[in-house]
Amino acid sequence: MKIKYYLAFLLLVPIGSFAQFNYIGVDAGSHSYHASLREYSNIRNYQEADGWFEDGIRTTYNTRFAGLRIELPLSQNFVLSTGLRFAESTTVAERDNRSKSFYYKFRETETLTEYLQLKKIIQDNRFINVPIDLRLQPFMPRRFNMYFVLGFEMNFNVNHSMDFEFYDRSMRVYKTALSNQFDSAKPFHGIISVGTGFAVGKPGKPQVGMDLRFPAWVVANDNAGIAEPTSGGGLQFFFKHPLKTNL
Amino acid sequence: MNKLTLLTLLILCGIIVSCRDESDLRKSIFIADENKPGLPQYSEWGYNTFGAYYDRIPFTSESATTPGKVNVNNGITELHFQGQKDGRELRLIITVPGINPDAYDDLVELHKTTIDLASDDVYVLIGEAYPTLAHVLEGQLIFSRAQLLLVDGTPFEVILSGRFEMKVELDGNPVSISDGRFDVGISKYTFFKY
Repeated sequence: MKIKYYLAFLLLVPIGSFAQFNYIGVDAGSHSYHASLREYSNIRNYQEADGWFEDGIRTTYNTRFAGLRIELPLSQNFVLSTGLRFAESTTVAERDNRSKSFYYKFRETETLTEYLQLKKIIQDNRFINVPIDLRLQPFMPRRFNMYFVLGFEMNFNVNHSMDFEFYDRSMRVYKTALSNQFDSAKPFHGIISVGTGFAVGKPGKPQVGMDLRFPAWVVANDNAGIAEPTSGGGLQFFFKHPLKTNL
Repeated sequence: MNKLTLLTLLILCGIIVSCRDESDLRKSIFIADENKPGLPQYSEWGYNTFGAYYDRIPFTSESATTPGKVNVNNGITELHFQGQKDGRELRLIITVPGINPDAYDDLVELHKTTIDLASDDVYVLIGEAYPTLAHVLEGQLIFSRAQLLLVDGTPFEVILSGRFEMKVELDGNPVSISDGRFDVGISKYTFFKY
């Protein structure tokens, strides 16, 4: 019996909440994260014995997103917002010394081994992104509203694609076979962020604004594909239109 | 810029672009074996390293010297290891019977080969600039793997990986060489046939 009430509550909350949303809008942005390439046993080590300088792998993990958002005021100072976005992450891994390559053990038998020289390993993962933000607006609403935000994002993997920059371009014939040897993002990973931002526009009228999210941390980062992103930050912009003007 | 200069520049660009970035494959990549202090881990990547305990002192490859070479002279095939022991250069030369390679890629025949270093058709030399013949009391050289390496579809080298150990009498002194392991790439630059 209790479960029935609980399910009814779950169904009614979004409907009831929607009646209180005072803004609907769009947002878009991009984030960059510090990341490292996951350990792939097929990448040949390249640290020279007695090497003076460490020559590591430079891995970048950048995300872009755009989508719809809705806002629910919880009180005079707190606003809850959520939405639905399309997000894409791009991971690029290359040697610190960009003139150098990776040697990747592509295939082998007992007495024959084939390396491919790779200048870059590139992976794009695409997600459905569900953000949940809690905003603290410390000041009374006016034309310029500053706020602080605590955000959580859930990324649900949709698909991915791999690309490579080969040292010898004729080796692109192996692109598909090579792609299958790298991990795609697993079904879910998340992001927690804090930040600050502002919205410009009269209360109850269309507003534009910007968030600076820093720092942002990736949760379950071993699910993010070939990279393990850790922390970073970024900017996001929004336009929102009032659904009700009686705040 | 006249046509000849332009043509020369284009040819030079072509040569530069077509040169393979092989420098990393010739380096020594020393990954320490945590269980055997001073020695490299056993590997089969062509890291151009070797190491063994010479009695209790590590005798290992180092980055400035080519650690492994194969010499074929009058049908006798020798495997040369050159490295350092206690800060001084040391060479270990072992003959490999039953093989007379014409080129480095013939060394794949050594795959999964075990050589009894105490047999009559094997000799071992150990020393600095001029190694001396050692009397092998017992010992083994095992080629765990010999693999032809292709880089971007082109043959580059044969990677010889394996282990060795021996007890020898050298200049009247008993010497034990233990926990030996090697992972060296033999290419056209490190294969010699007279």
